[in-house]
Amino acid sequence: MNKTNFLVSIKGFLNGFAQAMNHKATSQIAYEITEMEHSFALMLYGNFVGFPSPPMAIALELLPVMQGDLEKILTRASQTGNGLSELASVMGEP
Amino acid sequence: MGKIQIFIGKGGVGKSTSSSLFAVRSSEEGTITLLDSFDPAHNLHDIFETKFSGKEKKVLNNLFVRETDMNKISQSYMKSVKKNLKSLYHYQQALNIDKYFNILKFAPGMEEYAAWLALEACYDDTHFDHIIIDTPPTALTMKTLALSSVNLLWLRQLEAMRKEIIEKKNSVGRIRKENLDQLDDDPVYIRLQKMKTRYEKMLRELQDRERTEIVLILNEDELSFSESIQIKEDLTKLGISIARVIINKGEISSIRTKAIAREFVESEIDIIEDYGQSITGFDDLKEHSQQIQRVEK
Repeated sequence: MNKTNFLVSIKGFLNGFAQAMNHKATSQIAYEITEMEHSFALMLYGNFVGFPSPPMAIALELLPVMQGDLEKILTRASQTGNGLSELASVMGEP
Repeated sequence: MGKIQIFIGKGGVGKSTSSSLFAVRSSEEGTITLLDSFDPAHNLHDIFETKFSGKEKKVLNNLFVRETDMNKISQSYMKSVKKNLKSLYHYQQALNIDKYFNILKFAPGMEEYAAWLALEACYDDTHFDHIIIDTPPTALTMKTLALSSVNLLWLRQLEAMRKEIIEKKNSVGRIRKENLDQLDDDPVYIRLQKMKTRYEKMLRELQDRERTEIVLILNEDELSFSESIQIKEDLTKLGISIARVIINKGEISSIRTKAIAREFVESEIDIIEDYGQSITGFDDLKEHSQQIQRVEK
């Protein structure tokens, strides 16, 4: 292995390491974003499942563009019950 | 841009009769006028002794009349939303969208939203110089007039939430060196903006006295008078003022008329006298439309 290749490998390793650290550092914020999106969708369509919600006209008008967010609600609904483990995986090791 | 007059007041005070008289008078003055009934219990056809539908019908030289069918407006709105939902249909099981749609017209707020859509259509209509709207009794009309303000509160809240989500995503994206989302590319944010623009426009139109004249109808009895004061207070909170008060079956020199004039200082006051019988048919309407009296202050 020549010197250049070695340096590139080292650089690649360090980049990967930095990326992993960045991910670790931002994973809590990322989790918070998912929660915010979930709340946003729940706020709009909560009354489909029994929560009070905003004027129907607003909810209906947004329905066609809320596809992705609705997926989040449903994923969330199907995985619910293990919120603690989800939190633990975000917080990392004690 | 024409003028829009919205006739409001308690049930049974004579909104339809008053709006019909004003519409006939306006058309006789040479103004192309549309008289539109938003009241589900339409009674313009009894007053004009003519059949009407949701499509305007020419009844006099410059006068068109229609009875807007709120149910039809609700249904066609639902249809348009449903059409946009084809892609969402595999969520049906979880969200019960179809089942939900069947009962949606009974959902709170849908009735006044249909009226709001009909009102918006009137403001966008350029065929007439003058549109007179005969509304259902107070409660529903007040909700319709308040809808712009109420929905704007929600929209501003949702817009702030959406903004925060996108900004947070981007701050994470910058650290992770991922593609950033632009606020203006977010379809939800774009739609929130569009809605906000519509409601803001309607609110501006309603608050603009040059464009909109809110006409309050009342009788001389105590109940009608006290409800009118309540209506005035509620409208003031929405930034909407009453430009004209019509005392139906009133007397120009009565004590009550003077009290109304004192209460509604900033409004024009007109009187339609009690003719002892219902005003029906074109001859009646033409004759009595010339007898509306102005109260001098």
